[in-house]
Amino acid sequence: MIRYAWLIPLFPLAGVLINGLLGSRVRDKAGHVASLMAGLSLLVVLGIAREMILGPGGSHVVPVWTWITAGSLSVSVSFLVDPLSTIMLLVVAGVGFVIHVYSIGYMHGDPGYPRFFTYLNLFMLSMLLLVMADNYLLMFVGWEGVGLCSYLLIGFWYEKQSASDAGKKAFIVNRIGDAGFLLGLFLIWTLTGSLSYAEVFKAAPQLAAPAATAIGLLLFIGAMGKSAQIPLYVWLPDAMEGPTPVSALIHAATMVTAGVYMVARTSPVYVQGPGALEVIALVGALTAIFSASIGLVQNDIKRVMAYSTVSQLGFMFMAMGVGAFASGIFHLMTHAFFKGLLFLGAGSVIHALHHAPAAQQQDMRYMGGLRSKMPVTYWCLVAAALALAGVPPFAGFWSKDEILAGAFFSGHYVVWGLGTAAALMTAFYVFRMIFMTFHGEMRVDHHAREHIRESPAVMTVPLVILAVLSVVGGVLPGFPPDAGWIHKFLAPSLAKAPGHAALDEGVRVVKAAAQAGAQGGGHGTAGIALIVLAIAVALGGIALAWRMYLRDTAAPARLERRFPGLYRLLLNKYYVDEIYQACIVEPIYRLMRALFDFDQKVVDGAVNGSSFLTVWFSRISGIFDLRTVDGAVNGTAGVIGFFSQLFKFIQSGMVQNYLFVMLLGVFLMVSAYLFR
Amino acid sequence: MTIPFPQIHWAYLLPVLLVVGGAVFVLMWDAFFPQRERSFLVTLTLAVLASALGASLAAQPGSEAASMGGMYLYDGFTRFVFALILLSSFFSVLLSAAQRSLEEVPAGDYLGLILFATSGMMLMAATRSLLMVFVGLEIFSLALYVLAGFLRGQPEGNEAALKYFLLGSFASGFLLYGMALIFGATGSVDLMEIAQRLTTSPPSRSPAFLLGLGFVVVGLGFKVAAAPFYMWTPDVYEGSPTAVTAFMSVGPKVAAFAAFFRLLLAVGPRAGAELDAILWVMAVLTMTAGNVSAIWQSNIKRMLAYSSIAHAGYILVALAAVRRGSDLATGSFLFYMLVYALMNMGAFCVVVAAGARGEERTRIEDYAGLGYTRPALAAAMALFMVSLAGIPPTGGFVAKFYLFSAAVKVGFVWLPVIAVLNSVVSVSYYLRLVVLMYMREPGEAPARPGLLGPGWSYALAALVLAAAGVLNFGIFPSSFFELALRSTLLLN
Repeated sequence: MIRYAWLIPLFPLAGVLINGLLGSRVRDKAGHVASLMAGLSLLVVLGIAREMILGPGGSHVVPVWTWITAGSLSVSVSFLVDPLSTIMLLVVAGVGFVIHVYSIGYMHGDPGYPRFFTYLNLFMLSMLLLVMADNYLLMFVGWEGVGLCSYLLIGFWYEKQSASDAGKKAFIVNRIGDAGFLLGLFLIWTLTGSLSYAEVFKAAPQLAAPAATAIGLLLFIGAMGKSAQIPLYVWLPDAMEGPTPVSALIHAATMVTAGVYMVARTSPVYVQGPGALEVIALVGALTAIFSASIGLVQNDIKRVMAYSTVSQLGFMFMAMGVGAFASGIFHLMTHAFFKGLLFLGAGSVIHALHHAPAAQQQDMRYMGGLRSKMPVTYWCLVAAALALAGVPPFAGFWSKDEILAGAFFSGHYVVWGLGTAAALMTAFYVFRMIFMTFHGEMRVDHHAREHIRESPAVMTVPLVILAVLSVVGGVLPGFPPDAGWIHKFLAPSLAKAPGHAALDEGVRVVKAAAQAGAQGGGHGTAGIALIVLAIAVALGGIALAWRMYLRDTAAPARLERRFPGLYRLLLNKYYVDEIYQACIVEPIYRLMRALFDFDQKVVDGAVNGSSFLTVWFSRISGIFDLRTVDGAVNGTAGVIGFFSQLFKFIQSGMVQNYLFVMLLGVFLMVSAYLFR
Repeated sequence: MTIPFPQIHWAYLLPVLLVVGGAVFVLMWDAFFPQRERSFLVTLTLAVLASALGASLAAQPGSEAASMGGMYLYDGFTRFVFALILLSSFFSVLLSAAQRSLEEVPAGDYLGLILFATSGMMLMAATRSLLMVFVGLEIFSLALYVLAGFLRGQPEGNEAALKYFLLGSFASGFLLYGMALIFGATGSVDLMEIAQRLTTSPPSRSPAFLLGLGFVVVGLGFKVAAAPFYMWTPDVYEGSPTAVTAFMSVGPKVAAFAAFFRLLLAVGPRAGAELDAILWVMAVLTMTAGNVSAIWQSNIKRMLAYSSIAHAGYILVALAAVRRGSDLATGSFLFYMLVYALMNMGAFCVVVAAGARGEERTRIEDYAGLGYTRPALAAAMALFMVSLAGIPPTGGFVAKFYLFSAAVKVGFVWLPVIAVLNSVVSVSYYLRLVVLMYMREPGEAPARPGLLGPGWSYALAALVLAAAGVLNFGIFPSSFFELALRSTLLLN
């Protein structure tokens, strides 16, 4: 089965071609075509995963063709099937398929229906290429592709000014990241002479620490853009202007985790340059707490999720930074389940409220009491919220706990502290969302109330599937902590971080503790303490949310009054957008404007000059036409007229400018020679 | 005293002879049978170009590459450049036949001029002699000055022609003066001999030689539209008929860059580090000026003009690498030019095909909603834009990759970095057009329907050819790149 891996991206490609070229003909069937293609891909993925999991595993390269050769460099289009890409394939194809099906219901009746599914399949194609590539250049192809699709899908409802602005923002911020990524690729190629993973990783141990650190940091700039880390996270919250399935698939479950995947994939290089890992750990931890704190006070249901995603991505990078690569990928997987579910659930709520005024459809202050109207959505979301909050035995608990334990036992106490605080906030904001949306009295616009009903099966079945995964998706592969199946499975793909004697020791302790705990024993070790603390933090956050939003509903307003500055700071997201606007966007804009004005003046000169020139020129050409046969005399007159005009023309201001610039260039060049 | 008649390889000369003969024939035919169908002359011109292409592909360069004492040089590099020039002329003829506003012009004059220009470009690229470089340059420049103003009724065209003529003459002066200085310093106009003199006796440090080299760089820099000698480009590109603009944006650049490469391959390694600095600065200035200015354009032809300036900047990166003795750089240049020719011609072809008689769609705003009114055209344009921006899996990406890798290989650090950052910036204006086509409602429909009838079939042929090429070179570039690399083997 593994040698048929090339089929996986082929199906979405077929979907793109069918929907893209015959969009007007397939019309309402576009969703089915796209879902079918995603489903066929998933089948192949499942077949391969079965072989990889039950069989001996290992790392297989499926060559397709040699793409680029240049001297000693040879880059081929070939796919890598190894444990890491298997996990990623399962996540991407699995969640992708579920969301395709959900979109059939959600996007029903949209005028851009075929266009939407074309982009969605194109996204699947690019994302699959990204995770299956066996070299950095092909990964970059996928990397660019997902960026392009993200841009197209954020701006999908382009009539909305905010949507097209958000698309632009995502685009620009991601370009900054991409530049870093590309430069990283060039550095890899210069230092190792290759771009294929196998050869780069073979050469990695010979890399000097500064070189590896430089590569790592440049690649991480790319990851910061794609995976929305400080300071390049600003595009992701705005990306919620796109349709909700897009938010679930691209901006929660798959694309934004590409940076995490890339770092994990590059782990053999990263472990040579520990400086880069320290930076990643710190940026991840800061991002986690920073955006979690913003999520505390947001009122837009999708914005809460968006900041939550940024924060959870921070957790994944924390894992990468402290060297717990497998735990990071594990969290990536569980996060795909529960965050995808949270978004789809939010979409289900928004779908039910589409008769409410537009400004209220996503505002949790105008929801409440939806539990009885939408029971399936409610229970699924509760499962997802418990998973995100980190309550055992839900999925998120296992992966998040491993990350925090990894930070603690590798000696990153600051990172651990920030992460734990972020975890408390996480539990709080997600249950604040649950309580504000589903509990309490209904605050929905009267007009829209009668239209609220549970979403159709094509939307709820995907919810239920993801809910099941959110419940069991952590404990099955991840128990016991740090020694679960997923660790053994991923081990061949990932490098061991330096100084991991400490981490291994910690793992041993946790493992022993967990086993002891499972056996009903109980040694008061640090591992046990950490687990207990994590559970306490999760439950504490939930309890706090319950107290503030269900029991004592006046509490939030009271707090707001007591700390007005802090509240405004959080509500306005620390004013980061405004700061960027004032410090970066405005100056650049002014510079551009100045350049443009200069250009404009030159052009204006040209226009003014040309108007009278034209009169003369047409007159001259008229003379030419009439008199060429007549003889030299009149012709000469024409030529003289031409030259006198020429003279005036040179005086008129524009060619002069050009010549001046040229001469200036000549002067500079000559002086480069003479005054070197 | 007997003067030995230089050896002539007729098979090597055949492509040029075909083009020149074809030009004369087309001109004469129109004079004798003026009432014949225009399409006949178009077909004839296309056939001339195709047979010249066939002749140059068939003529395998052997060890005896030089004819006429080095005046004419047919090696692998020449062969590839011939193919590029003939390809771009072929496209220009297709575009000219498709363009509505060119329907009324005398076809014989017009097509004859295109063929003459083509022959000039070919001669410029196929020589070791500085004199022939100048002769070739003047042959095609004069033809282009006329072509730029060929629509005499249009004031913009007249302005473009005059401006091009004035500034071009100025630059030619520099070029010729520089050549004279080099001749004075080394006693030869033959690049091979110049290179030899530079190694045996070192006049390479003499001010006359350095100044001469500098002036030649200025003259060639003007033709390839490198900063700070690029300022004519947007005005001339905007004012000329679109098909001519397309021609100007590819053919002359190929020829001038080819001469530039030959010059640097011969004298570059011995010309001192100043040239390094000059090329470096020129490359950075050119790509940055092109990309930054392109962002603000509202006229698509101006935008494409600045885009072509930016691409010239990227190619200057390869030139700088050639001076440092990179064997990869020349091959990447040839491959880049091949892809650039296809995607640029393709983009201009869309501009031609989107217009109707009397109302060209030159404002970028005019392309809003093209994805709904003309889906095939819009898809082609999107492909060319993505390729120009250097996004995989198109040829533009692979070509850029080769080019920048060559620079990295010879130890440039900041130059490729700046080039990469520049291409990152460039994506914004290329994709703006794509977004406009697909994410904006069409404005009020043009009063007349778009291109239909015989013109459309020419445009369609050009579009299909260009699009297939751009995709093919993006997905299966290896064999062609190998070919480009092999073409540089016999150099020096």
